[in-house]
Formats: sequence, structure tokens, C-alpha cells
Amino acid sequence: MQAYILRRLLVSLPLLFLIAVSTFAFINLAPGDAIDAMIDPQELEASASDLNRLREAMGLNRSVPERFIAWLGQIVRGNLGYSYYTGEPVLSRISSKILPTLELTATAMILSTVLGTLFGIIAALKQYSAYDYTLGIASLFGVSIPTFFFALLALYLFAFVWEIFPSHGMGYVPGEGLSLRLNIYHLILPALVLSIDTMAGKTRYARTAMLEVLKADYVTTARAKGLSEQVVVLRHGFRNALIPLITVTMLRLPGLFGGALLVEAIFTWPGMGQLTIQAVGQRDYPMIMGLTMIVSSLVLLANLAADLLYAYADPRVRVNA
Amino acid sequence: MSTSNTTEGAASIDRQIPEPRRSRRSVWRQFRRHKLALAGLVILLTFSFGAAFAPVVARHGPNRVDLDNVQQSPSWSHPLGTDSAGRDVFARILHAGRVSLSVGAVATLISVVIGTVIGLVSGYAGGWVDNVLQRFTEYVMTFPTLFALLVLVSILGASVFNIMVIIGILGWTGKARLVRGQVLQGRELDYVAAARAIGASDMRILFVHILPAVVPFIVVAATLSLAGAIIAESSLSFLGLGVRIPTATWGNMMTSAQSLHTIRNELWLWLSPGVAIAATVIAVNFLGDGLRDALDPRQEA
Repeated sequence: MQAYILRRLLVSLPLLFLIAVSTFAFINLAPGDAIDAMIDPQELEASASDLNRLREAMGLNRSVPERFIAWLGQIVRGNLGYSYYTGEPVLSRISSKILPTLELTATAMILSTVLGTLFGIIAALKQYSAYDYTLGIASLFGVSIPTFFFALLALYLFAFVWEIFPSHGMGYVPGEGLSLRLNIYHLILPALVLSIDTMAGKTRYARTAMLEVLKADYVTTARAKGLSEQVVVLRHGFRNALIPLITVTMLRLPGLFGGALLVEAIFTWPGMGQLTIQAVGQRDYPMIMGLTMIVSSLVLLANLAADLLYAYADPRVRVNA
Repeated sequence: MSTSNTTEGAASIDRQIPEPRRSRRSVWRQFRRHKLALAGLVILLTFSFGAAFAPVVARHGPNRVDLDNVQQSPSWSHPLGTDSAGRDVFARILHAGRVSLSVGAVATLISVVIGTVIGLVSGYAGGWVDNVLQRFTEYVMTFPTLFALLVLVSILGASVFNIMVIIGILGWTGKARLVRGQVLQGRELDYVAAARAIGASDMRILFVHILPAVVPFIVVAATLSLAGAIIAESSLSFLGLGVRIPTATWGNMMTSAQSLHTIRNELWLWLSPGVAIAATVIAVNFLGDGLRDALDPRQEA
């Protein structure tokens, strides 16, 4: 098992390098540099020598490979460069935003997995019943309605009309810090909204996977042996339906990070999403590159975790891998 | 799941195995039974019609600024109200449909072409080619779509053309995997082996013998990815980083709803474009479900 984990980690490294190369390439092949983005030519009469001095100070006069090596050096030293705008080290700026985003996405992932699987199993066990049809239609609506529209509707109804939940922030009180109770209270609405799309997708997959498994011969055998329905469904059925569910969870993870961008913007949740939107709006390239690296590393790590879960759920993976 | 007619064997002969490819008429008959899919088709046609004939259907121009009638709630002369520049929301929704629907359609077309080509090559060639293409697909999949979309659009510029192409370029991975899987199965079928035995070229085998069997799957996947493309464009434009005003899209009409004041007090500004997006995507997904049932007899919805 340890060898397996180690090998999977080693495979991720070249991928991470490839991501670094392409992130850097895309940003540097784009027409215009950060100076052009920073200074509006109509607003400010800047002389060519001024601009060149600024380019020199920011290292933009060096060749592209030189800058790439310099940037890689920064990554290895655990720094990721400095923001063009605030001058802060990119990594420390991102790391102060990483926890709120992880809190939001992890909660949404757990919610969507638990509820989605549960709904899927209910729909499969009661196939063609009213439950099944209702869940089917509900999940179709769930995957169809864009996250940001859901967020606006939820905010309007739950925060403004019924005033059940707070409309913004994560429960940080100046001077008092973050109380857990208040934080969870602020978390519920955005996390639920973020989880709906994935939850609906999982309901559909769990239903299909469960129906597939329940038709298998070993389930019939288990029933014939006289095992209780509960044991048949959970031990023989569910365990085997788990494998496609892990795949879906893994495939949906990047989408969850994308959705967090929108949910954070609407609920003013102070995470990486807000930072991204700000950085993109300002063309703060070091920040954008840093965010790309961090987000793709997080996705790679999550894929790794999913692979390990695979190996846990399906012993064949361990032998053949 | 992965049963083909040749390998299923004698046990199922009396189960009346459906024809591998259904005649056009039976597909339509099957599709018609799916009430929700029909409803989806009707909604989609209505929206497309409204968008195509927007100048005739709407009484006001989409960009006509009327500063005497700013932020009016819905009334007889403005059925869906007016925005902060006094522009008619109903007229803008119809015109926005043109941009939103065509961005979705073109992006889907691009992603289907890329995904099909990569999937065909990957599945048919096998070996190191397959390996390289598979790793490349996984690599593209590690980027969250919306995140990559934001970054690429900000670098390359937020024109309608760029947005279409970028959404298409980011969206092919699922289709490539689907097509590859189908080709891997198709490659082993008896009639493909027979074609190879009589000396058919690779190109002929791929396009005449394998591709037609994959087409139904591609059609279903394309329908579902149209939904994804429409959502992607509207999310981007909602954040104010997509298609720029005055060109209206359903997403950028909702940009003003980033302020809590608008969410709370100017419901009509964000509710109607939001409903337009949601209804379109629901319609597309219903359509996709119906098509899957009609085209693919093996898979249960």
C-alpha cells in the first residue's frame, strides 16, 4: 500500500511541472504585459523611459526562459512571487484565503456525497415509485439550474424574505475573532447552495450504480441465503456501488472549486474565489499563476485521495496497480 | 452493461434483442413517448424563435437608453421592467438569447469535434498514442473549468468569439473519454474484424464501421454539453468578466445582482434572465434524457 501511495505521488510531480509550464506559457504568450494592463494610456502620460524603468524593476525586461527559471526558483523556495498590486508574497496572501475555501468546498462535498448517495439508494430501492420520480425530476432541476442563480434565489428567500440565515460573511466579529457557532451558522446556506449541483449528479449516478449492482447474481445469492434485506443492500449492494461513486466524486471536484468562485462572490465569503476574481480583474499575473498552481495541486491531491479510496473499496485495484 | 449483440449469446435470443441501430421512425416514436423531452423541445424552439425574431417580438430596442424610466418594476409597457439605464428587460432577454444560445451551440460544436477526434484516435491507435492522449486528457481535467475560463478569457480578451472558442477548448474531455471507450468496444466486434480481414483500410474501418455506432452516444453527450456551455458562459458573464455590455447575454444581465441591494429590492432585474437560463438548460437536459432513451436501447435512464 505504501509503495502504491508513493508511486501515485511520483506520477503527480511531472503533471504539476507541466501545469507550471503551461500556466507560465499562457500568461507570457499573451499580447501586452502587466505594465500595459496596469497603466491606462489615456489616463496617464507615461514616457517610454519611465515604462522601461518599471519593466526593469519588475524583471519584465528579461527573456521568457530566464523569467520561468526565476519563477520556478520561487516555487521551490515556497514563495510563488509577489503580487503586482500589493507587493505581498503571493503564497502568504493565498494561504490566508485557503482555509475558508476549503471549509466551504469540503462541507459541500460531504453534504453532496452523503445526501446524494442516500437519495440515489432510496430511488433505486423504490424504482418507479413516487419517490423515484420526484427524486428524478428534482435532480434534473438540480443539475440544470446554474449555481449562481440558486445562490441568488437562496439569498433572496432565506436571508431577506424569511430572514433565517445571514446574507454575507463567514461570521467573523471584529475584536472577538471567529466563534465556531456563528461560523457554522454562516456556513449552512452557501455550503448547501454549492452542494446542490454535485448532489443532484450523485443522486443520478448512485441510482444507476445501485440498480446495476442489485441485478447482479451475487445479490440474488445473498437473498437466497436468507440474509436480511438490510445486509443485502448495504454489505452486498452498496459496497460495490461505491466504486463508480468515488469516480464521480473525483470528476466533480474541480467543478466544486469552480462553483465556489461564484458562491464566494455572492455570499461575500472571504476565500480564494474572491481573490481569483480580484486578481483576474486586475491582471495581477503572479497572483493568477500562484492561484492556478495551488488550485491544480489541490485537485491533484484530491485525485490521489480518491485513488486511495478506490484501493480501499476495491481490493482488485491494489493487486493490479 | 458492456454487452454487444455478438457476445451476449443464446440466453438472450428469446428476449428480442433490439436492432443495434434503430430506424429513424422508431427513434422518433420512442422519443415522442418521453413527455418531458417533448416539453424540452418545445421550450427550446420557443426560445430560439424569440431570439431569432427578437426585433419583431420586442417593442423596444435592446440598447435604447431611457433615463426617465430607470429601474421601473414590470408594467404594461415594460412587461419585465427596466434596468439602471432604462433599457427594456424583456427586449434585452430576447436579444441576449441570440448571444447566449449561439455561444452555447458553437462551443458545443468545437468541443464535440475535438473530443470525437481525440477519442477516435486514442481508442483506435492504442499503445503509446493512447497513453499520451489519455494523460493529456487527465491534465486538462485537473483545471476547474470556470477557473481556467476566467484566467484564459482575462488573458486573451473577453470577445464573444474568444469565449466561444475557450469554452469549447475546455469542454472536450468527457466526450473524448466516452468516444474512446466506445471505440475500444467497437474495435473488438465481429463485423469490424471481418472488415479488417477483407483488407479495409484503417480510415474506412474507423469512419464507416466504428464511428456510426458511436454517433448516438455523441449526440446525447453533445446535448448535455450544450447545457454546460450555456451555464459556463452565463457564470462568466455574471461575474462581469465575460461578454461586455452593451451586448446583452443572460449572464451579464444579472451582473447587477452582485449587490445585495439589487438582490433584495430589484427582483425583476435578475429573476427573469435567471429563469431564462434555468429554463433553457432544463429543456436541454430533458431533451438529452429523451434522446438517450430513444437512441440507446441498452442504457436505462
